[in-house]
Amino acid sequence: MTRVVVLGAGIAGHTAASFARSWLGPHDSVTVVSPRPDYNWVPSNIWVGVGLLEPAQVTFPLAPVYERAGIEFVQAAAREIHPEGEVNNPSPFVTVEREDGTRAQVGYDFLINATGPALRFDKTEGLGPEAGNSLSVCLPQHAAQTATALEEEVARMRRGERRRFLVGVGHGTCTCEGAAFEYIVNLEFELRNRGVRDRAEITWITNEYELGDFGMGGMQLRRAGYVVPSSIFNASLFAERGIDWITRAHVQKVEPGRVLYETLDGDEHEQAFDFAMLLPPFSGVGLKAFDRAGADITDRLFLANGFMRVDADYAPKPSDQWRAADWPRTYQSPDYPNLFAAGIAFAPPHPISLPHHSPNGTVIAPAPPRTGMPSATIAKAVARSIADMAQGATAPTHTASMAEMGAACVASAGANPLTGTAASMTVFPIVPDYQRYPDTGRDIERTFGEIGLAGHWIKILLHHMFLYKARLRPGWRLIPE
Amino acid sequence: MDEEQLQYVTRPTRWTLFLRTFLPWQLWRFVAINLKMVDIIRRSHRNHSAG
Repeated sequence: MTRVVVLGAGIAGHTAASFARSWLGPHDSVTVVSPRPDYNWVPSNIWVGVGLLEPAQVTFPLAPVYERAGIEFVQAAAREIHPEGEVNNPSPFVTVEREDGTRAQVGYDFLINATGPALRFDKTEGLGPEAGNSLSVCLPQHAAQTATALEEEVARMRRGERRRFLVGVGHGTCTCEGAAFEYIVNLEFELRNRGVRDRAEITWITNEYELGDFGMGGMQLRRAGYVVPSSIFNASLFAERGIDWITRAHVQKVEPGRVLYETLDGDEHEQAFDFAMLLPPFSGVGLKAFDRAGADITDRLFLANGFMRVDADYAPKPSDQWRAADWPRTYQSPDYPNLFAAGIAFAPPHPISLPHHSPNGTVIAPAPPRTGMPSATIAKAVARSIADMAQGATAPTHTASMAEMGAACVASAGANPLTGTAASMTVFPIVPDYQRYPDTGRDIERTFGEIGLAGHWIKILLHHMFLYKARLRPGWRLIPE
Repeated sequence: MDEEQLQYVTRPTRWTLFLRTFLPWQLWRFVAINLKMVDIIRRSHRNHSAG
């Protein structure tokens, strides 16, 4: 009997657990440990944040789904990994903490760390909806709070007031610019639909060097006889919709009604707002690790940012020496062969976008995205490797390097079945490979983007398809990640 | 964004804006984009063998 434990029930954790369950034998067990009782289809939180969906439409309780699938569910937060067990018990285990503060040990033969990100609002003074002065769409409850605040702004504008909206990222090292981009264009679309657009000033603030970077170093696209950067499409959309923008910015502080920020040239500025939706930077969730004797080995398993070391090349090197081969392929821990990471929890070897520092030493560069499709693809490959290793394979059998896989992404730009639009994008590969594709780092035939109503239809289709799949309804395995 | 900045920004033509929500064209694009995405998904899910 093989015991597989998955930490986290987001896109990566849920995918890994579901496939592991279907590939392992009936006497093997799969256990999911997650502090939250619900699954959240995060990409649709954007629509909760503009008031088009309720949180219940992007979430569902995990316990009944796992019960039906034969997966054990432990609602608790993972705190410690003991990959060598302890003195009196050499079997590896994780220590978990339930909501009431009680702790328990969960033993494993294979462990998948898919704990996702910690939302580090604390990295910027005054950032965030709980203890700060800005809003978020990272969690369904954050998005619902943002929708309520938006309603209040619309009511004020209907009374004739002018209001200032600021949307983007709240720190120089944030990732997920794509989600903030979706929010700002949906916000603009909704303000138009509600007849108050002329009373709104909307500004985008980002740590990207150029618009459209999205933490992937942007994209190069073939268009009208030229190969052009994705920045021109973002700038075009913003100009067309009257959205102002601030690039190369690190938000230092969010006060009530204004943000203070530093730009890459070292200058300090401020921007006034009435409504600010700013995403936080991410880190790992702060798992600790201990050896058999109880010595702290957290530094061996994790980087300083809390993300887990896997089979990547973490040797520091200048950006002109970055290679596709630096990126992990199997997501196996170099120290413990039965320990894997999937999704945001694995530590990337370096950024994808070029690093930049201000003269004050402030890092202003997006972190690499690894959400959605890559998360699920990695999780599936890890589950397959573990299923094979449980049956005797001595090493991981499947790989899913972000430098070898592509991604398809649909960014909503306004939700309406006849007048809405979305930007449909594909990139191949996600991490540029300049040895294979010397000109742009990517396959120009398979890297494309376009804006239109068809994209919105696809976005709706994906919303329903992926929630159906996550509920493990009949035929869920036929829906690709 | 001031007027000078706006001068240097690429903007869509009226024809491009029209096509973005013109149903017959978008029905075709729905098929074409899905095919492109299926190609990417297929290539990314080859489940490369390790080693």
